[in-house]
Amino acid sequence: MEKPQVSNNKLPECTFSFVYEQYLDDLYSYGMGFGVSEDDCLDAIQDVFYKLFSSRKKLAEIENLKTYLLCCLRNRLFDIARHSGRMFTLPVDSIVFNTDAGFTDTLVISEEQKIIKEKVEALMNSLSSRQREIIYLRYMQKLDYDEIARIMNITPESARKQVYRSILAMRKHACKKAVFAFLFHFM
Amino acid sequence: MDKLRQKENDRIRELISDDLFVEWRLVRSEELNAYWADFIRRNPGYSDALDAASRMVDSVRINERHVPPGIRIALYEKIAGRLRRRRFDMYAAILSVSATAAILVMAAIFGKFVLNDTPDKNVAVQEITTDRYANENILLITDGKVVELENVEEAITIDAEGAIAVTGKDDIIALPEPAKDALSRIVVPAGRRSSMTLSDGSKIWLNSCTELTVPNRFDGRTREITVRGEIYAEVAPGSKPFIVHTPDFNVVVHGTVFNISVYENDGEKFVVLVEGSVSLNIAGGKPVRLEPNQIALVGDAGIEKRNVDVNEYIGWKDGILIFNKAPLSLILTKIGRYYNIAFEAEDGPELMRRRYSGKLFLTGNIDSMMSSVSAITSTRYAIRQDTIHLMKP
Repeated sequence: MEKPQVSNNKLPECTFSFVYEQYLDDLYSYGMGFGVSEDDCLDAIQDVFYKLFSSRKKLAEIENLKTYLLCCLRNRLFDIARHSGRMFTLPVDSIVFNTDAGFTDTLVISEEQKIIKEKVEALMNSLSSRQREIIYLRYMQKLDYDEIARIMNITPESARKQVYRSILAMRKHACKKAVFAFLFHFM
Repeated sequence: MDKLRQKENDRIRELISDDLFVEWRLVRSEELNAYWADFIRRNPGYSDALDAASRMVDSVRINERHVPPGIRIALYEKIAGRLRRRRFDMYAAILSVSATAAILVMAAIFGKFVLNDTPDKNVAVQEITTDRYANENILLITDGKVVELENVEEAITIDAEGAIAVTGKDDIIALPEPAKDALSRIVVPAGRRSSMTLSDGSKIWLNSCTELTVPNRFDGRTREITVRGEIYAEVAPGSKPFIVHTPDFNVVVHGTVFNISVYENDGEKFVVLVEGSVSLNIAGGKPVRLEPNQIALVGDAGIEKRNVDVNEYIGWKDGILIFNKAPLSLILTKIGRYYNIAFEAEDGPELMRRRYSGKLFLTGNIDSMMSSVSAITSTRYAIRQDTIHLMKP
């Protein structure tokens, strides 16, 4: 099948706004997980987009924009933390990734949704910071192991193992509670 | 009846209170898939509750945040500003023009309207310019590719499997079975219009200076599209609610045929309902429901509902501009978008404020269209490059 005409060497300027609109919220959601202030996060995101848009060649060549952008943001946030102590209250090697659960498009959540929110947060909090980040990237951003590996600077094999271990940790949490429930029942 | 529902609710609550269930919906491992499939086999009565509970848990989002609209734009401006300041980057200048709202230049007025021949030195020239897009062709951005549509007859079709084709071209632009959440964007510059069929069969007409983002396939529980500019839509019936997102409000479609206009530089943004039923949701406000032949005007003062003749608002789709006591400034803005031309008038604001009623056929021929305009407004016109000058007769 013949490929249709594609004007790659003269990417229209509107592609910038397309890329920006497409990925801004993903970047913001991911960045805020690192416990930085909204201003600092948006500053870092600004730097990431500026770097990408400065080179039209780069924009046309990158195959996986989302992974590239998330990776850039993570690096940028860590760079900023390394150079100025102000953003993170903890030392750089113990930078935490936090998660919270919510529902889109609802101002008031139902009883059932409250239960689910608490459960999901409890499950995520049973993990280490790194595990939380990996689970977030895998199941919220829907990235595959190669992509996770690029962002977290590990091998795909390591990414796979860490996802597996995270699920095990969640299971332990689930079963521990079941055991308590079981014991309580018989008290 | 109530007892049954209570039992169902109890079952749902039982499931969502089960950590293993929540974990399953989150990670969907094979092991848990098998576990819960087995559970349903042993407890078939739970089947409906399982579906309902699954939907509930699936709607959870972790860390989901949206940058609010005002900050979105401001941040983009900061990026554009930085790019502009880099020397010898002419593209950055175009970036800022196409990114921001249309430029509506109204020169300060010093003089007054003078009826004699000698021109008053202080009468300022009033300009109406339109969104200037760097490209003259309609752009389809999908699957990492940018496709230009040059011919007027080309329309975009998405079939039920998410394959995108352009009528008139033999190639398929985007293959069926697209990646989950794959999006396509259509950018229509001034002077062009387009139409497209979505994967559910809904038909959308796009006016000039419009950007529309749609998923290649409607896989989720809703059908959602995003628009900036103006569209006329005939929504195919379906069980999934159809939602149109605009920068300032959402329109939830319960019925079929409507027109949405959300141009940045227009004072008012609006939705006109032709057939069916829609409701507008604006952040922080109550939803507003529309009946056919009604318009919802979204301005700074809130949402205003009125009964209207819909033809005034949807004529553009067939190349007809109907206006009813509309100020000349608005008429020229619409014509300017349609033909991608700018207007200049020597009479100052008085001419622009005058109201006119009538019908204009927006044919390909600017001259025949302009002769109608001059007849209606009692002006002379002259075309210089891509600007039309309006003068006193």
